[in-house]
Amino acid sequence: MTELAEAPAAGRDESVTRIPHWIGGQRVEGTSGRSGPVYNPATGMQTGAVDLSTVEEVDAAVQNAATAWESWRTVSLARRAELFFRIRELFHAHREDLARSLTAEHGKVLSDAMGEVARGLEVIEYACGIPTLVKGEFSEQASTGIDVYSIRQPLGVVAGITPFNFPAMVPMWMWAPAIACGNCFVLKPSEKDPSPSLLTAELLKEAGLPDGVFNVVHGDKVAVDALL
Amino acid sequence: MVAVSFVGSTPIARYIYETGTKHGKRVQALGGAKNHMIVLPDADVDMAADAAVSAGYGSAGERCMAVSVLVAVGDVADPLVEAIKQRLPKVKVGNGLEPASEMGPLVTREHRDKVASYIASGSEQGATVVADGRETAPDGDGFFLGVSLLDNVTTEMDAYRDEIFGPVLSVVRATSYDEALALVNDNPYGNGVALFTRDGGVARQFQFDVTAGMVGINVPIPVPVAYYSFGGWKASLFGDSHAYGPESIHFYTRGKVVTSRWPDPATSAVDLGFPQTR
Repeated sequence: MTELAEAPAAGRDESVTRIPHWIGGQRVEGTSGRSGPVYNPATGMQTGAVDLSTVEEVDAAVQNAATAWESWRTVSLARRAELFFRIRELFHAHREDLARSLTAEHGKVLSDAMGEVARGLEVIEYACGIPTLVKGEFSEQASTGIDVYSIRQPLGVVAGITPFNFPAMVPMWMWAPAIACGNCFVLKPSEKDPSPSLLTAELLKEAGLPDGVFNVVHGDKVAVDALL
Repeated sequence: MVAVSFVGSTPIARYIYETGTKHGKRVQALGGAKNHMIVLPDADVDMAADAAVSAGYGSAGERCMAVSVLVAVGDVADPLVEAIKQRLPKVKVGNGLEPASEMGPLVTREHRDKVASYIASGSEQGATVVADGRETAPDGDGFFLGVSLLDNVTTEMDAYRDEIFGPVLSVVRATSYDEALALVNDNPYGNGVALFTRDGGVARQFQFDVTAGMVGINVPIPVPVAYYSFGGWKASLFGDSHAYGPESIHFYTRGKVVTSRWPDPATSAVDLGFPQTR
């Protein structure tokens, strides 16, 4: 271990990085005083400490998302599709950064991590078609002088609780269609490999997603129960 | 908070579904898996062996769509196990950032030890340990385990019953297609399943009969493309919507139907009867 610590390439392993929440478009340090260790599985060394949230912190994230939803639900399908094309381009440009961030905490080989991001990108590409996907139906003259039509509306604030084995892709399965449909999203990623979710949050902000539409709360059973 | 999507293990998925729905939330909770890959006697042995090694050990078996059980039907078993055995020493296990590595470590030390325990229990319960990953793990403090192959596994063994979620592949020998199909359909999980054969008629019957949400015909990890939806049956999914694709659009929206008339006073009247079309 001493040898590893002295080698420049392993210097990252020496400092334990604090991994905060992401609420309202910014990093928010936890207040619970509780944290979970994050390891580089290839070296066995702790590289991070993830803040574990309190019930109040989860509630704050949900409140934030609920406030953001008041305006997010009014954004047109055209603007949402346009935003998702930007998200797709940005995630594609940063696919190796995402892959490296998940390999560092999950351990899977980089080629496999790139494959995970690629399959997640396909879900983002699907979400780019949101105007077509939420089209309703229309029946003219269903009864005399009466027309009937259907529309699909977003639910509000929705949560995703995701596993350690696909720390970038499975969240994409959820946040991409959820946000494209007009919902705000609170992600509770695995506490074993939480960093890709923060990179995701930063990329979404850079793409132009309004603050509060995508949030990350780290945690354990306390956070999960607060979301239920 | 009005809806929750979850992916994880079956006990937690069940808890999330029961607790969330009790509180009136819309929930889709994807749980664990025990994915079987059936190899029929007419299958190409080398192709099946390549697929089994790729799908069993890729991502160190930490995929909910990883192949965990290989069901070898009839006389394909001996050549198939031999073909897999020959491939195992070539799988390069190492740090995921090194380009030569094909399989990385497991996620935590505790999980690595738990996965390794199935090699021991398999051996104690009568399985043949063809390859023991405890002996081939790279040195150092990383959470590594080499690739492991258990042959002659039966349905009572822990290695068969539990979702191992690691690089341990079990071979169950079956005498017929019907016996292989029954294994899959009797299993509490129903996530992914694969059939390797050259017989299109059997493959078509299999797709009709099998109780799993994602079926591969000569494809070991049939994760649906993004414009279909991902989800298992039985204890692999609680709720009624699968993930991503069209079912996700349905899950993340709710329908509203508008019945509309622009006023025509001439036809207006009081009518307390049940609304009917005219």
